[in-house]
Amino acid sequence: MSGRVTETQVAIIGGGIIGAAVARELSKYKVDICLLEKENVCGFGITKACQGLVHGGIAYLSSRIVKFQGGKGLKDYLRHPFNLKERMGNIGREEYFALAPLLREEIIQPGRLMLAENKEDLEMIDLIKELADLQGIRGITVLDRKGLEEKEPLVHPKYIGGLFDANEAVVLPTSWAIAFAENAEQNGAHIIKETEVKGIEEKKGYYLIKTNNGSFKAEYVINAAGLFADEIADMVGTADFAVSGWKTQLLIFENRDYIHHLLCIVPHPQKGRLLIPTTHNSIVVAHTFEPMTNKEDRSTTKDKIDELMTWPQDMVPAISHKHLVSSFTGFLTFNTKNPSDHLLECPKRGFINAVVSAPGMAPAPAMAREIATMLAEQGLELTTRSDFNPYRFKEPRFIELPTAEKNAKIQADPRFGHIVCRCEHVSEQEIRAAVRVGARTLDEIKFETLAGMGRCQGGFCTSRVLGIMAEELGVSPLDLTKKGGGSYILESKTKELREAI
Amino acid sequence: MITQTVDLAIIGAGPAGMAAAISAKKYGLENILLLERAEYPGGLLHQCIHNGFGLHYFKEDLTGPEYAERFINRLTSTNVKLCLDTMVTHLYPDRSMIAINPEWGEFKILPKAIILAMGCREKSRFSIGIPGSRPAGIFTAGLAQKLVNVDGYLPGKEFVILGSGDIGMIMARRVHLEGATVKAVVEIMPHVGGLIRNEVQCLHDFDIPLLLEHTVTEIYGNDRVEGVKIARVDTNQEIIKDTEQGIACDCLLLSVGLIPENELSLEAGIELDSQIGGPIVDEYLQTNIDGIFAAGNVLQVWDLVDNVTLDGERTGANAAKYAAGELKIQPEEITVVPGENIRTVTPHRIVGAEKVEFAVRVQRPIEKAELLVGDYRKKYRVMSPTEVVKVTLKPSDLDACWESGQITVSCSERRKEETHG
Ligand SMILES: Cc1cc2nc3c(=O)[nH]c(=O)nc-3n(C[C@H](O)[C@H](O)[C@H](O)COP(=O)(O)OP(=O)(O)OC[C@H]3O[C@@H](n4cnc5c(N)ncnc54)[C@H](O)[C@@H]3O)c2cc1C
Ligand SMILES: Cc1cc2nc3c(=O)[nH]c(=O)nc-3n(C[C@H](O)[C@H](O)[C@H](O)COP(=O)(O)OP(=O)(O)OC[C@H]3O[C@@H](n4cnc5c(N)ncnc54)[C@H](O)[C@@H]3O)c2cc1C
Repeated sequence: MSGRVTETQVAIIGGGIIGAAVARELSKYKVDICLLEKENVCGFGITKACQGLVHGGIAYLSSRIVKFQGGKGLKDYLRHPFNLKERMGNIGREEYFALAPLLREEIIQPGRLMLAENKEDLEMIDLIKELADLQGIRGITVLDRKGLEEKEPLVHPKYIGGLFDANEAVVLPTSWAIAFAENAEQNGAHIIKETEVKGIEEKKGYYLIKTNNGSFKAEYVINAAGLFADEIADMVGTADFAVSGWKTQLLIFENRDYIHHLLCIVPHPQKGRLLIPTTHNSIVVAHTFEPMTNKEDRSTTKDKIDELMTWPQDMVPAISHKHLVSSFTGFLTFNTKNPSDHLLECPKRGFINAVVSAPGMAPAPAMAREIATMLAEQGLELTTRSDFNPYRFKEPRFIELPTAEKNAKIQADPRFGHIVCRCEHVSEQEIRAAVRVGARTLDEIKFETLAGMGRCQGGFCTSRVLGIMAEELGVSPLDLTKKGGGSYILESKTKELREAI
Repeated sequence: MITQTVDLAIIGAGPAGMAAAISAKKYGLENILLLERAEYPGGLLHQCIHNGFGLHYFKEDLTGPEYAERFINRLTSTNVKLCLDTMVTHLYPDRSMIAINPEWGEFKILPKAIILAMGCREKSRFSIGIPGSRPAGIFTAGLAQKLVNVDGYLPGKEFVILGSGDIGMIMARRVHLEGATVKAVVEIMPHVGGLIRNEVQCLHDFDIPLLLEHTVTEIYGNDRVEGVKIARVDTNQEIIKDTEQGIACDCLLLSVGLIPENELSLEAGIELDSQIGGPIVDEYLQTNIDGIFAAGNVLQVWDLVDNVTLDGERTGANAAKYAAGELKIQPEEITVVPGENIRTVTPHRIVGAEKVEFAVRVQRPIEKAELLVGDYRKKYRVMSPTEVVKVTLKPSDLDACWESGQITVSCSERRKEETHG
């Protein structure tokens, strides 16, 4: 542990979607910012497993229905005015659309199609429509079977009708977290990765934050540590909440023109399933629920995978099991102090707990603004920077350039013409560039360039990518890892083991 | 953008693509482009440094690279234009194509005919849904083969291999010879997935444990694989309770199947056989799009490279005929129907009046088998799902089928009285 001490005005602990959005928001002002993230990439915490819905329209109503514990009074419960979470979600959504061209990120709006199987479902749909009208939500249409088929020709014949909500949108959350952080960095914020906060000492007028990477002296601290926000709060003795939640398991399928909208069944209390078309041609099947018992346990289990496997075909029989690409887990979290809402509070001078409850990705930009206001109330001076650049500088993916631009690049550097990843069409030069801006592991290359993300999951490009990384870094492929730490990929050179025996 | 107008474009310079190019040349096509994304021709053969190639075609026992070399030599003595480092990125229904390479940049190809020879890819851990954590140390067997044989690196010390496809068994022997330990080859079926020859020569000869009717149920380890859990399965491939046991290992190889690589075909609107994953073809190996043919593993995953080469030669000749307007197509067609005990059969349709070669894979092992193709019968001592059987019918064998428009292929055990005959 080094004895170095870095001074800053604001320290953000955690570079998930929340921390990263806060960093970008604050980088609009003349403020010193250090974002401390324990992983080597932003957005690899809870945000990584997020299915990416930027809710609009009826989504909050239907999640109310799913959460409803049963009994009478559902109607009244649904009529409650929107809480902080729902309000933030709706504002955040507008901001995602506004930010997409600035941050050069994608947001698609496939809309949500709710499928009704029987009379009871149709009644629920009428109720949702009625409440949507009451809340002034537009873009909602009730459909009969024919209307369903027009939207999704492959939908299961058992569905007799449905409801279409044009508002639902989808993003790739980790990619957005990276974008927020990069744009913040381009505007002067310090994004400090592989830096885990181990302890915080409250001093006179500042907090001393101890990490594996030196100490940080900060006047203001924002606790955006996601799953571990309770532990951080505990370090300054303000943990009157715990981060709790569910472990969820999800699947990814290739989307071979199977679906074009988000599909869900009519929500019932404690029951919901989704098929989500993503920004890059796959379908996320979401998700099972089980209690979260261990925050480090990201394993998937056979019983849940088996259960999930039956869902897609139940909605769209044509979806072939052969097109399963991946399975993963995520933690759907809430704070125990106010389980159905976000926790945004200032328990100590200059110390803010920013702990979202799922869905907490969609509200991130709105939460970031709210946090800036809170900091100002705490005495932080927010003077706008005249040189703030809202545009994130990002090389577009080579394969997406128009032909003339591609060819100009190839002429300047033929390594652009050498395609290394066959599924996502990533060029050798893009891998090199990713290494040059700091990617050190296979997983980082995957997120930065998409190489290894496609249907073959790296079966073809891994050996090439390792070779390029090793050359670029001047190390042996034996030194490379999948995700840092002990996650080495290759054991030894051939013959070495044999000779050692 | 450069545009290449050619008689024939072949995608992939593995054994299928090379044989196709050589034969198209022989049958008179002049202007041929052979497109390969790797830095060298030969496809998968490069990493298959073991022997067992060419036993039928050359009546010799060659290694993969030796087999490839014979075709590379033939190819370079022709004027076929071989474009290496060239990735075909798009194929459209009108047969135009887009490709990228360092020399020409992104360019367009307008061919009269096309042969698909893109080979296959391996199924990954996720496409078969093995639960557990996501550590480093999980590889498909083919990737491991490339790392060991081409790049010179061993990906682990203690291996468990899931699946007993040929690549899995060959890799078991390979890493064993490198001084690593193979704790087990785990196979869900009651028999190995690859050739019996490989079971004997790669596993039994080296005392590598083979666990049939077992599967991997979970993977352990956070940073790197630390072990797997395996369990016995019943006849429905359901896991039998209380048979689970842990095996410590630092590397898991998957040899759980190959899938024909047909992204480009799908983009072009080529219909695929949902069972095989390759294009639906007629006996000329022509797809539903006129002038687009398919050969080798892109069509169906062959066990033997010799069959891949033969596919390539056929499509080369047929593409030449097509370009010359000489491919004979009848007004009617016969649909080939897979019947009892048949897993896959190609071709899917019969459109001409020449002899037809069928390639059949059965559903389960059948001893004293009788294969029926329409009225044509052939006896086999044993038919196994791990091997494709070829039978050729004369035009006259098909006479009766033109009326009904279909022919059924089936296979069953011979009845008692017949077995001695
Ligand atoms: C399956 C699933 C589906 C979801 N679907 C949606 C959806 O559709 N829409 C939606 O809006 N939301 C959704 N959510 C919820 C959403 O993903 C989360 O609410 C949101 O991502 C939380 O972001 P965060 O920044 O608070 O947490 P995180 O992403 O976990 O960020 C916290 C960061 O802090 C870092 N950290 C932790 N401890 C320390 C330390 N000691 N020192 C330094 N750094 C530390 C972590 O590494 C992490 O990067 C979903 C969640 C799941 C699991
Ligand atoms: C591990 C292993 C062991 C084997 N052992 C034996 C054995 O012992 N005996 C035996 O007889 N057979 C064996 N085989 C089988 C034989 O090697 C294969 O069946 C044969 O290589 C398949 O040939 P192919 O031309 O169809 O495909 P491939 O060899 O895979 O060639 C396809 C080519 O197409 C290229 N390509 C794909 N897409 C594109 C694109 N979009 N643009 C440009 N190029 C593209 C690829 O780079 C590749 O070079 C083995 C196979 C494997 C995998």
